[in-house]
Amino acid sequence: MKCRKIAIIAPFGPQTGGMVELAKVLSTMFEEGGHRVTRVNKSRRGFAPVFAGRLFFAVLRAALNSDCLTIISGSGKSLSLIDLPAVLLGKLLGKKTVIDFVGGMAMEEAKNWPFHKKFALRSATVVVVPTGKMLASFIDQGIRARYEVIPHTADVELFRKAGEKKHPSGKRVLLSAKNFESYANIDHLIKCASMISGEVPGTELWVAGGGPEERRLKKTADEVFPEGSYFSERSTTRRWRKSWQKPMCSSTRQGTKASG
Amino acid sequence: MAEADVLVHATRYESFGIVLAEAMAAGKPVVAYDAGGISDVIENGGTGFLLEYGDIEGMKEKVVELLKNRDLYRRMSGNGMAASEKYTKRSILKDWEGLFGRLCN
Repeated sequence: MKCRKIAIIAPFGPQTGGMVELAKVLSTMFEEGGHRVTRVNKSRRGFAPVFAGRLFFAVLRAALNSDCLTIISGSGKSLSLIDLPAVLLGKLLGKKTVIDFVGGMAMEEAKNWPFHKKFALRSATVVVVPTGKMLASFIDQGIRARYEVIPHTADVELFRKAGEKKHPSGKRVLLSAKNFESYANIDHLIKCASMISGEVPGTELWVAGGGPEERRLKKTADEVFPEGSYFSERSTTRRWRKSWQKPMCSSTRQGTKASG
Repeated sequence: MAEADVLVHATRYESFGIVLAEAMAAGKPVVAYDAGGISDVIENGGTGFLLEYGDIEGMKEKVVELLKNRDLYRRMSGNGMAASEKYTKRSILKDWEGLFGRLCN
């Protein structure tokens, strides 16, 4: 396979989540495949205008030195504020532009997007979506683009090793790893785990993540299933990103590294 | 993930769910609502169970079934590990290289 020069414009952290995880695994995958990768981090750091200026020049530099711009995108603001300019810049320079789309909410909400968000997808050379279901939903919603279905990749080898390391703790652990947004319905899982513990004693629910619903979810856990709910702390999650093998600390309200 | 028995996932929106592929790779069955693209990743009855959105009672029943039935658990665990092969970097790289090949040539 010919070596490609690929620029990846994506959030590479410091935050966590699906897009960051995908950016990390995708860029490593290309490098391991012998391709040259330029990473452009679109996670905002510092004062907005300064960040925007730096980002523009980083994208320009990456575009000039690459065959293809791959933009990891979701339905948030960056789709129009960062990704659309990157796509247009790529086109101007004669580069191929690929938007790798992440984000399930778009499967219901994309039809309500303003024109400039739809235009970002339409302007890209190809929009990659991870499932046939997502492709069908975009087509049904009239989002015009040239699509390709390529599943997301995961660090399968790492998690296979993790699976082999299970030790007999005697507990029955249910794990949730999803950001604390209202649509994630983690309160459903707390109620569910509470019901399960009535039939399977020793059941615990470990909740890894962070987000705006954190306070409400902890309150729900305290009311519904205080004896078996454990939440990861963001700082702890980040630390575990570097040392995922460490066993879980079982003290109250601590959690586990679950994803990535 | 290593110490978990089951991954539970109740989201309403999901395009793919990288954590679902990670759970399968670790041999953990998934019990989730059938939302978004989840059914393209999890085979209902094969690598996990998919429930109608909002069916907390059904989710409870399926998790209990998995925790109590070791044969079922082992079968789903093995199926998940095998199915996760589709999401390895090696496998997905081929798809991306194919795409780049078509775009750049």
